[in-house]
Amino acid sequence: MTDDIKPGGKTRILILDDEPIVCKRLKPSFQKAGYEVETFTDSASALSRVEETRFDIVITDLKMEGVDGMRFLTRVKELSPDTGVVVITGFATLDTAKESFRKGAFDFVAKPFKLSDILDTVRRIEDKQRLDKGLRAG
Amino acid sequence: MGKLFSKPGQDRTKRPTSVAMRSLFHNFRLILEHNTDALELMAGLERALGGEYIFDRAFLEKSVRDLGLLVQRVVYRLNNLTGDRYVELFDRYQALRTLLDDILAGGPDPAALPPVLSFTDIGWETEQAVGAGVASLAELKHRFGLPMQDGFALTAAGVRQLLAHKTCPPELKESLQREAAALRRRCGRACPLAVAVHRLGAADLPGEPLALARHLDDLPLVIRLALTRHISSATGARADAELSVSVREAPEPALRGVVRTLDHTWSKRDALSVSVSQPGTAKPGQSVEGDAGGGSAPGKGVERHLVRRSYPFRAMRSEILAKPGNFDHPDGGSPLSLLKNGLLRGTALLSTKTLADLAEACMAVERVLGAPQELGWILTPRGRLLLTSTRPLARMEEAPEELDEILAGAVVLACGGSVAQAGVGAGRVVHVRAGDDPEDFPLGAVAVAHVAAPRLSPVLRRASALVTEVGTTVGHLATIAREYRVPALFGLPGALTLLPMGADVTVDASADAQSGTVYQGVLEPLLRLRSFGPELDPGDQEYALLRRILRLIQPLNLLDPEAADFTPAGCRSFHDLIHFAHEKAVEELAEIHARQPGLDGADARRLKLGVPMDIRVLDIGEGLGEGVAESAGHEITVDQLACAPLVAFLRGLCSKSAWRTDPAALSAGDVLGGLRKTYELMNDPTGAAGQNLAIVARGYMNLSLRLGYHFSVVDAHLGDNPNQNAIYFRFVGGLADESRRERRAKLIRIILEGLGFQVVVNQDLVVGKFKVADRPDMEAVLARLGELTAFTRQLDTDLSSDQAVASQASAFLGLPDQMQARVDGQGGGQ
Repeated sequence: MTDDIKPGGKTRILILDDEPIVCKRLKPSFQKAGYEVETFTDSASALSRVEETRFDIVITDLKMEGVDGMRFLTRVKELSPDTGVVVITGFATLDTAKESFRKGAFDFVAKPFKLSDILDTVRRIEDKQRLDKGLRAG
Repeated sequence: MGKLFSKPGQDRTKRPTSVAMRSLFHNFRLILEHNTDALELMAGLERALGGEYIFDRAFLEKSVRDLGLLVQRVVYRLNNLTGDRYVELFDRYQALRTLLDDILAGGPDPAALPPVLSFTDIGWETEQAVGAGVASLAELKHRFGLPMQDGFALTAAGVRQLLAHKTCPPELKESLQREAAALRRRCGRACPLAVAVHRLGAADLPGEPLALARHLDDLPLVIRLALTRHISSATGARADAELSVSVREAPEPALRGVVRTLDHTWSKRDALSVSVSQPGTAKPGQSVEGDAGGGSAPGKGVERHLVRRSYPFRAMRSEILAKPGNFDHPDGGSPLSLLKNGLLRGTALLSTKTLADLAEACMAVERVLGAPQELGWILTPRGRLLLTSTRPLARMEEAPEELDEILAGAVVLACGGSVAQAGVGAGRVVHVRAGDDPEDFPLGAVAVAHVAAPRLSPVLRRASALVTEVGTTVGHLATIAREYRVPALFGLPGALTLLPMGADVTVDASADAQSGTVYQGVLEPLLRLRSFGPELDPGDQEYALLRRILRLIQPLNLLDPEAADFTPAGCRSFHDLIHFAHEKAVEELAEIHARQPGLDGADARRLKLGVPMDIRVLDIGEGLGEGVAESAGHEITVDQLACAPLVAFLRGLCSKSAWRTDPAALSAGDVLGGLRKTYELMNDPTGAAGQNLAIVARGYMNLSLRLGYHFSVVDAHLGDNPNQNAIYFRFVGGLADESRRERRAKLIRIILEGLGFQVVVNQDLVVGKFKVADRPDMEAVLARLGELTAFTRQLDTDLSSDQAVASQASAFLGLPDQMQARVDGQGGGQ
């Protein structure tokens, strides 16, 4: 995995959801807010992408064919512990939420959700990452 | 909802109440609670249509499942309440649920659509039967009023039926000819009909028909011919596709051409391009297609215009062919003809006005379909503009590069409010005030108004965006904005001041923001983002799926409880089912003494009022003050009520302004002079007038007033959550001739609309709904309903003319008290 410089200093986000409508609608929203976005509807492709490139933030669905969101979350955190991961799911339960947090998710968002809510979550991750970076530097 | 009622175990009523009575109220209370929960779920689904939420299929499946459960419970509780009088409702519920499950399973259209459908019966939700292109065309024409060709369609099932037989089955032939005759009646007896074949799953609408039918007898044969030609020429996936057929009006054009709503071939600036030619002189669009380098001369016989993409759609550049001074224009003039404005007609084939009209219509198509379009158009010799085809231009894959920079430098005129329909719209600001004719609103302008009132609905068909100072996203107008897909921002304080009349603005009602922003000027890159934005478009499968689901969930078809079809069998949606159940539950309690004589109504207490009216109060949970329920006696006073909506209503009913006998005060002297008669009717000792019964809880009132020959119901929820607050008002009956009863209905409609109600009138039945308002506004409106109740009792004899209606309505609405000021201030975020 390479630790690429963010193009134009933009925060890099990977979105994985097997429902194309979710990717289709999230991508322009994040782009408009100034982020660099890549979207995937199959977890295998997303997995190989995170193997080769580091993303600042990953937004992943939980219930998918093939590699499910929990395994994807685990792998992302193994490869890049600093990456902030947001789990989005239409099948939210207390157990899945707990497990997501245990595996290092930053937040757990139940579908349907407002675009503004997920943008807020991403901004909170950025704040935390800046703070962590400052602490490490200081 | 739980706040409106006490839970059974917490009921402070210690008065001896029979088990049967308690059970009755328990069922009633649950019907109301499930009803409210179901309405909230339905509102959530509808908001999803507006682009506010990111959702997936699982959300739709879960919503239908949860909603189904609530509706089933309502049906169950109604049958408990009425001794299984409405068992048939279970069958209707099950039938609707099965249809919904079929839709979610992606099966064939379950609604058993007829094989031939007029465009008036086609919408995006019937896409599976006719294809997306035809569905869009029909929607654009009939829902949005855009100048698309009229027509009808042979559905995929109809095509299969036709091709399965060597000759057209008689029933199908009859349907085709019936629709064709109806189409000819709409568009002209001699109008040729164009037959086009469509692949289901293809988004575009082919511009060139495969065949023309001039005689109705030939139509089945022409359709078969067109299908055979299409099938024989199709290869690969195209050969396997399901097909539908459209039959559309095809008048001879005087001019024709192509519009691209976003074209950069001439200029780097975003613009709309129009090519124009006379039939036979050039192939329209050829120059536009061929000039990728930009700036070259148009093709032979073709004129071109570059037009701004926002109202007032001014031409930026035109390439017009030279013509002799005596050239005959299709509109009848010559280049040297003098126009009304004193200018000469000029040589351009397309007049300035028609060019603007064409651009307006095409930009409206882009807004509705959510992406730039290429549209074919014709102008008939009689000057009728028709859009004959539309197909999406390539979608943008990325946000415009310069967007960040442009947004950073843009001047923000206003920000705030709530997004009722997501999207971006731009144009010139036009303020909409009470009394403005919606038809005068310029197509494509940005509407700015004080209140998001239902009367603005017609404006939404014409506006590119709507901004209001007051209003909420769950009201009636928000629904209409979603229906018309007009970006709408409600509750933006000071909008009328911040957005002055005539200013060019861009309204960014983005789904990705908590609130909206209005920028100075027309920000083209932001407008372009519309075609790539996070909004939900008709092209998205989920959009069509949601529309199809909502068709069986949301419409309220059963408006009139007195109508013959107000039956379980008449319920065509979940909304109908819960509304029917609610009405019947209320009726059951209102008629409790007649229907269940065993329950002698011991709990109904007579209300002592300052006016001579007899109202009995039946408490079903904390509707009476502390200790009142336990107190002895059959009479209670207004002070002893804890039911907030009834207290507010009585404040109006008992107010001096409503009952004073000064004739001049209301300009209805003889109305009030007849009060004696009204008192008699209200307190009919024979009992023929029925009983005035108020079923109350802390935040709920159902008041049935049977006064003489009038019958009205006020059903109100009043709590701290504005989204749950609602008033339903129904008025019917009357001791007068038909014309006076109609005038009375008209008067009540005007008054209710003036108070911010959404009103439906059916003969002399008036149904008004007022939703989503905060507590003070609800109380003010309920008080006015109380006044209205006193006011309308004896109107029949006074409504001798339409003028009397107008003067009495203005007299009532013009009452100079504080409540009126409040009502005007909010107008009912319906």
